[in-house]
Amino acid sequence: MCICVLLQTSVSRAQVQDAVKTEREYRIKPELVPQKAKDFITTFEINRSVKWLQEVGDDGASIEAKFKYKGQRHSVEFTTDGVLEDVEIIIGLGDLPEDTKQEITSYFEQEFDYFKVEKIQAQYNNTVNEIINRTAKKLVASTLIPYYEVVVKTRNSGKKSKRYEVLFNEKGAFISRSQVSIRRDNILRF
Amino acid sequence: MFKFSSFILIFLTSTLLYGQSLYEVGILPEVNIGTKINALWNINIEFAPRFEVSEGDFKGTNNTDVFYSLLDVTTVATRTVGVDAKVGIGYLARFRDKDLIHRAIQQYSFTVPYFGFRLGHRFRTDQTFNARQKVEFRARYRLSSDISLNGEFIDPGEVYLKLGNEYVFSIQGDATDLEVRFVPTLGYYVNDANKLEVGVDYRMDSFLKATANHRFWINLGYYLSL
Repeated sequence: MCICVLLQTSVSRAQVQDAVKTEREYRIKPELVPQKAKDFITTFEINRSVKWLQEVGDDGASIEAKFKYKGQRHSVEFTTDGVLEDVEIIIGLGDLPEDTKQEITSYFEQEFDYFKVEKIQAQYNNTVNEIINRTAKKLVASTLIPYYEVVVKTRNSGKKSKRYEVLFNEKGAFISRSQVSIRRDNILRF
Repeated sequence: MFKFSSFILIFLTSTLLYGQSLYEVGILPEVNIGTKINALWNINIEFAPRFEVSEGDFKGTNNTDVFYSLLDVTTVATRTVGVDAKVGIGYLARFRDKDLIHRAIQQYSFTVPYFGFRLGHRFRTDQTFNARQKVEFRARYRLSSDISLNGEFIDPGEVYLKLGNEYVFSIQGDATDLEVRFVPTLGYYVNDANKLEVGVDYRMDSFLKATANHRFWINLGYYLSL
């Protein structure tokens, strides 16, 4: 029985085919940002400046606005034409509902021998149709259901460390994961 | 960032005003080659020759004389423990004039990512063996950070800022000392395998019991990952 469980665990771990995600972002001037995107960000009424970035990934290019709003780091992604794609808000592990946190933790414990959660984003990309043309105020006040994108550094015994972006639904059920390249940190260690 | 800069400024000003401090200026090129042995073990070898340029005091006495001073060859092997912490052992060979000085190194390091920067913590102990002197024991802690100047992460083709602050406590016979180091560096992330850095490696010692010595090394670094 024990052997069966062990075999099943190793098979389920091995069966996951991890797509490797590559992304690159760089600052762009606000003049290059479509007016539609700037208009949406204006509704947040931010006192501090907004960082505009162009993100180039496997799925093509997009434009991203990064800023702090009500003490939380927001990242709003648009197509290069200025159409809203998603809104991401960085949160802490403690901000997750208790049941969701347990589900997510349990997934990591099952999949990896060691893991360290590096970042969690509440991601509103499953409800794009609902948030298009809305203002920030309506967005925050609405009852949109987030997905949670968790960046986690992991390692299994005898293997090298890997970093993943793992997507969970609002209840903490696993949806998908992709491997993210680990930037070398030898300049901080030697 | 502002607090860190202010701290350095106040620290330097207060020290320079105190007594007849001495200084040395030099050039410290470093070539660091790192490679994986297997999934868990890495090895780094660094070649760091030193060239002294001038020395003097802050009252105007100055002696400029450019000469090769020594060569450090350091090898550190590290093993990943836990998720990403690393323990390491190493050996440094210092070639100075006709002397060969040996140093054994033990270290533990880990890095923590934040939005736009990473913090690296390194705890190190070392023992230096010199035929003409007593064994020197040192305990060191270094906090360093690489800061993205463009977006959340440092990407290939981008310039980054690196700040380092290290405290080195040493015991040699009856003598003890504390050395403090500040290392602001500007780096160019060519790609994941190649990084270039230029900065100032500032070191101050002897300030606890005597007149402080200040050393300013112009630091030129090249990191190659195979």
